Amino acid sequence: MSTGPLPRRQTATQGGGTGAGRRSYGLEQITEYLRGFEGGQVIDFGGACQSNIDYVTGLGHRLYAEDVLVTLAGAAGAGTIPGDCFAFPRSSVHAVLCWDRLQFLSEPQLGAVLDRLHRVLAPGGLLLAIFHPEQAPTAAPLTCRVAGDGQLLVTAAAGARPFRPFNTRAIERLFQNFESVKLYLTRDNLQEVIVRR
Amino acid sequence: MWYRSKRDEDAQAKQAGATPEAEIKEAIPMATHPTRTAEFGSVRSGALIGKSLEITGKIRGAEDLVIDGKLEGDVELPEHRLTVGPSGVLHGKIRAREIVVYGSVQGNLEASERVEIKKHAKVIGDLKAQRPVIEDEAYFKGNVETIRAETPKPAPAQLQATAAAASAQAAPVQASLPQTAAPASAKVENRKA
Repeated sequence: MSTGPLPRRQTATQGGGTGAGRRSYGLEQITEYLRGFEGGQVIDFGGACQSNIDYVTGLGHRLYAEDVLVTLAGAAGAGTIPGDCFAFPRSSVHAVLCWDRLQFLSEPQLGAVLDRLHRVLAPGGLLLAIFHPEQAPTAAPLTCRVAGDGQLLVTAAAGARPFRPFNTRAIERLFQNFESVKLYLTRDNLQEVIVRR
Repeated sequence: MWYRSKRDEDAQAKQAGATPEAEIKEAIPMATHPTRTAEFGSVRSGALIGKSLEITGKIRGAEDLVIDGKLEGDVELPEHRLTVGPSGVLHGKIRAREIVVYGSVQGNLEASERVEIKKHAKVIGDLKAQRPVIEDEAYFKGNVETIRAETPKPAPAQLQATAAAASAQAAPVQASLPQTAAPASAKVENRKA
C-alpha cells in the first residue's frame, strides 16, 4: 500500500475554483480513469443527484445511486448489510463515489460495507471518499455534486450528527486491503481520499 | 337630482358589468366529450386509474395513462406517456415513451424519451432513458443508464478496419490524381487528427 503526498491547502484561486464548486483532485483522477473506456459501472453512495447522473452518464457509464445511510438506518448493530444494498457481481464496478458516508456508519456496518466494496470493485477501480476533520465532534452528511470538469460543489445538509473520527493513519488502515491510498487536504478542511483496488 | 343621477350611474354600471360577462358566457362552447382537467401539469387526455382502484395484471395500450391507484403488474405504452400520480403505487416494470413519477414505483423503468422522477416520489428499480431527470428530494435507488440517440461508437479494432478499407478504396483515386492534390488530402487528415 502506498500513500501519496499530502498537498498544501489550496486557496480559491490556486485551486482553480470557479465559484460553482471547488477543485477536487479525487474527482479529477476518477474522471481521467472513466474517460478511458465506456460502459462501466459507477456507484454513488450519496443517493440520486441530477448533476452526478449527468456527469457519469455523460462519460458513457451507468450510475447506481443509493444513499447508504438511508438503507442502513435502523440496523446500526448489524455486522451484515442487506442483500439488495449495492449487490453487484464480483469485480463488476469501476468506480465508487462514497463521499463522507463511511464516517457515519457504525463499526460493524463499516466493516461489512468495505468488504463488499472490495469484492465488487474491479482491480484498478477507484473509490473516492471524504473525511471530516477529526477535531469536530459532529457534522452533517455532505451533499456532493459534480459541478464541472473536476469541480465539486460540497454542501452540508441540515442536522449534524456524530461521526467516527479518522486520522491519516486510521484512514490508511481502513483501506489496507486495497492497492493504494492517496490523501488530499482540501481548502474546506476535508480529507479527500482516492483508493485504488 | 343627486339621487336620480346616482341611480342612473348604478344602472349604467350594472349594464356595463353585465354585457361583457354575458358575451364571454356565450363565447364558451359547450363540451361535447368528457374532458379531464389539467392533472400534474399536463392537459393531455387519456386513461385514468383512480385513487380507489387496485388492479393486478399487465396493462398494454396506445394512449396516455395516469395511474393514481394501485397496480401490481407491468405497463407497456411504447408510444405514449405514463404518469404515476401522487397517490399512485406501482409494482412492476414500465416501458413507455415518457414516464413521469410523482408517487411510488418498485420496478424497472424504460423510456424511449424521458423519465422524470419528481420531488417526494419514490422509485426503487433500474432506469433507462434518453433523458433521465431526478428532482431533488426524490428517493431513488437503482441503476441509471442513458440511451443514446446517435449510433454507438465503433470499437477501436472495427474503426481501424473501416479506415483501412476506406484508404484501400481511396488509393487508386489518389494515384490517378495529379501531384498537387496530395497536400489537400493531407490537410484533411490533419484536421481529423
